[in-house]
Amino acid sequence: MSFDNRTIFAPATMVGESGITVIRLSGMDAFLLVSDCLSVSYNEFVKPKIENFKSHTTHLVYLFNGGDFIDEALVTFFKAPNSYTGEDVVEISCHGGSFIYRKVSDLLVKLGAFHAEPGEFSKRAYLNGKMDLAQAEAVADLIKAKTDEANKLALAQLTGKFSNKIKELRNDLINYCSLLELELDFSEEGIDLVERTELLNKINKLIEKFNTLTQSYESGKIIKNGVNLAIIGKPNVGKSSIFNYFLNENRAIVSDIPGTTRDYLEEPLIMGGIRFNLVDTAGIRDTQDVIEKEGVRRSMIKIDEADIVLEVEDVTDLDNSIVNKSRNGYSDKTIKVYNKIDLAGNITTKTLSVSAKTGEKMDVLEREIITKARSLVAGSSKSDVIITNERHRDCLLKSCEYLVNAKSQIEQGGGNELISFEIRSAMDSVSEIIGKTSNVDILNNIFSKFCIGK
Amino acid sequence: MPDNENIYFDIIVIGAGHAGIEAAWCSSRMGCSVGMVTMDLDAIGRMSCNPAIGGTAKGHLVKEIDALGGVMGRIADDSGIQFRLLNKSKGPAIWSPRSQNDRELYSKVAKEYIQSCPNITMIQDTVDELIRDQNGEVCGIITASGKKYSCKAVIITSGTFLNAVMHVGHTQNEGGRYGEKSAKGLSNYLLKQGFITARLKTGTPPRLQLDTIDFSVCQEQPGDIEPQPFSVFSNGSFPKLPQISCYLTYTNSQTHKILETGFDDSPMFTGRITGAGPRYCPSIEDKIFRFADKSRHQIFLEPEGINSSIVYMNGFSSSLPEDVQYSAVKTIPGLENVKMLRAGYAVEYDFLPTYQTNLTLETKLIPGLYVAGQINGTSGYEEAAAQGLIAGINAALKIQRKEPFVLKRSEAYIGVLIDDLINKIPEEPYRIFTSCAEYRLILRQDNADRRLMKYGSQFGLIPGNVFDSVKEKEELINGGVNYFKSNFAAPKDVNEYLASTGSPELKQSDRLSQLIKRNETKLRDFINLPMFNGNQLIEQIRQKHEIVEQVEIELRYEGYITRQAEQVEAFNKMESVELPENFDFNKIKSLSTEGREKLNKVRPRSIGQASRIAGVSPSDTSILSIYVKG
Repeated sequence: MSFDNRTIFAPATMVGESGITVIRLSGMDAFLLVSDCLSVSYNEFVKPKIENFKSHTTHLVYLFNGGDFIDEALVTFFKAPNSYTGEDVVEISCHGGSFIYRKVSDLLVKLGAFHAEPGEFSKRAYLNGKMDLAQAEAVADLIKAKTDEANKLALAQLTGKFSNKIKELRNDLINYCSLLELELDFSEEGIDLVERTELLNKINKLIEKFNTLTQSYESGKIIKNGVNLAIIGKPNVGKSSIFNYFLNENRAIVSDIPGTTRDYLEEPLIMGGIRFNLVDTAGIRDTQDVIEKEGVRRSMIKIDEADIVLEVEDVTDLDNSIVNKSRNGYSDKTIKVYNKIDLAGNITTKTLSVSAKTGEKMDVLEREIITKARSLVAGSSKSDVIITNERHRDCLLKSCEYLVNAKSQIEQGGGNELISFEIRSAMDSVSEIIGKTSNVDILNNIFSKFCIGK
Repeated sequence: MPDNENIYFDIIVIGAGHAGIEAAWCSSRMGCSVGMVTMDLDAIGRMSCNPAIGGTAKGHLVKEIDALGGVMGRIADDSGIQFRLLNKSKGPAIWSPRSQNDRELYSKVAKEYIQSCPNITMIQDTVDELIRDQNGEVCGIITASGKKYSCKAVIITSGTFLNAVMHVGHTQNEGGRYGEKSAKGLSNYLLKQGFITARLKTGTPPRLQLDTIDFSVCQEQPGDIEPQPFSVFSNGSFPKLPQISCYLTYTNSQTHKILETGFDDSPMFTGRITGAGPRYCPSIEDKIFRFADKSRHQIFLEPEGINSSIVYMNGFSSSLPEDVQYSAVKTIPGLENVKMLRAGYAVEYDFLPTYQTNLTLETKLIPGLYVAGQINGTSGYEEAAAQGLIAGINAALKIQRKEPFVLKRSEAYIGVLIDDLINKIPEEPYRIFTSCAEYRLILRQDNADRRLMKYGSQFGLIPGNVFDSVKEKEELINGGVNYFKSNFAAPKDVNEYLASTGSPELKQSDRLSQLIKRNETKLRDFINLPMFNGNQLIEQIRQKHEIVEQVEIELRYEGYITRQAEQVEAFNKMESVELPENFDFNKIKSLSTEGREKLNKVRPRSIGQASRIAGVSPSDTSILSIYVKG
């Protein structure tokens, strides 16, 4: 049977011990299908006059499986096209608990409904023209958002602010293209419509716009996925102690033996409203131990991936040559911290000296990290729209590449047909972002990343 | 009972214009007997508008028609009095051949080509009705003189003759061309059968008397020094006729002022003409109205033939009253004392919006009935001829129970033309442009034979020896391209040449193709360098100008050709997702209302085609794809 005529359902809330569970159904036959299990009385099965139920109204009903009374529930009706998916939608709020959910779920399957695939509701919303592709992707982001900033970005994308920006860029490209084409079409009439230097200026401005947008991904991805914060240093400088301190639990094993941490550990953390992925790494030193060697190698990878590197030294043992040797090009993103002041007495003159063990000055370190993270997030403030999606960034990068080609064609005195070819290619790439070109494989790939029920 | 009741033809072609000629020529050469019905046996292949063939994108069509075995290029070559490759200053994808033709001779040559086909019978008559068998399929015609002919297929190529009305100022006459009748009967018959017709208009400019023009104040426009023919068949004695020049002059503010006084009387502005006019071949009053800030417009003065005393006033098509036209013409430099032989006029006519036909140009309503040319809403001889060829080939294939022939957008301008007609309902006469062809970097006029001759050969429309020579050419081009891509030049071999062109000298060896790609390099000079002496391949290439040119194009465009080929691959993927013939679009409820309506109208046969229909949104296409792929 085709997707189109199926009625799908899924829990819209977590299933488990809770007050209620909301189950959502969507499909052209959703009303009819549900009506077969609704009763106005719990004593006996009496079907309500469902045709009298208005859109966007909620009704108290009793769920029946054949003659069996299952649960008391509230059902809300949304008539197409005024629903999330653009189809008829019913939301059943039954009592919480996985047992009740399973009974209702079995019942719906018996009546002919299908379990929804991940993202199927949003896919239908997209296919029914309720939102464009970027907006649909925002729904997934919104659900996953863990901080204020991430939430704001997802909302901006959902409400179409991002899509409008993309449409704006696309319209510019369409305009340039049509002028070039018109000039070709009228070539026998000898009409010049596009001044080359003017076109070059326009393309340059557009490239700038694309670059700004693409760069905003740097902060966009941090806001969405969190700041990667790697703690590195020689063995036994107290990296794991700092790690545990921030997590407020003894997540990593701490001992006096150098090389205790063999592999990295990663934990999410929210500080100052920013999401961090905190990484504890194996201490860096020359070693013959095969396992430790691998740990060091992994530490180096984590340094590369990090947005901020917290480089720890032991204030009582300032030889850091090995770490210095391995440091290549990450000094910009580094915060240097000296640990173990509890052992050093008052002799230290280093600015950022802390004790993870006693917690002394750890608040200063925390503020330092947050300030650095904020500057990363704010890095793209010149762009009014921030990109959070890798697919969007890739499309923009590709598009920008074509524009640069177009630019060099104009500069070399290339023909309209070649300039136009590049601009058309740029246009196609931009269109992919909001799904103006239709490619089923791309679609399925995007929606499969959704959670079930959305 | 009529006396000719049992006269039978496989195919009856109605009309003997540019579409009719190709339809009759191709189908007869494919072995069908053809009856060609025309109102006037002397009007075969008449150039009713300008005495020219080809031009931007239209020249591509002519080359493609030729490669498929059609006859337009040959007639144009035989009757050409000026040949030019237009847009030489732009890229090779935009280069377009154009010829100026002797109007009388064109018609005469066309008639000779038709008469040379033993199985074409000419009939002077007007067709009023078709005869259909019990299955609704076409099986004959009835003419105005009451005669009946039976057949298996009918191709209507009636041009502007369906319900045609001519306008000059307030004066209206029935008729499709100056001094010719309108075909009302057939139009009414088609309406009765359930076809939907709509109205379009087209116009033509005044004709002037040659010896009353002062050419000394105009700009001379000679033909190319080395004229190139359209046709691969014209390699012998070309050009056949002495070559002449055209002349360029301009309108001025005085001209525009006079024309404006006639706007109140223009059938266009008074709303008497309801048909939409061509945007790209606008009347002079249209141009003045729309480009009000332009102080002058180009006028080309084109002689209608070698011995003709008539000059065609290209760029001045008009339907204003005769006296207004004449006063305005006389304000133009060189035309102060001109004698106007005939005023410009507009023709309004019926066409059949093409959602009613398949990509083979067979109508959906009446099996066996094909339509081609202006009746499908196109303008221009070349567009008409291309359709005539496709309709003729497909009618013959159907009779022979063979697979239909449809050219893809990625293969030919002809494919683009027909696909556009079917999927984008024209609101004005459709004219082909290079911008219509998204794969134009590979659909060039220079490689039309390499792209399409295999089909012409397959249908028996191209003789074996001609096809062989194109295969040889293809081999030489590929050989040359590969040679230059895989061989290197040392600095000492090329630096003298590079310096002479003003291009930077080589410091170390470089690939030959890199040197050829340089803007300053001309391959025809480059291959004469001593380093190629004794190289057999280069010797062979050097002998043919067109091969040198195409090797150069292939190398210079290389990156773009590769990218375009990738696009074509993606396009073909969409084209290959088929929709069943009787697919019920109504059962897909999530399609947009407009999308569903258009899909039902056009009934596309693939997802790719569906995506191109005006009114079908990308999300409609996605829905269809998901539905089909399930």
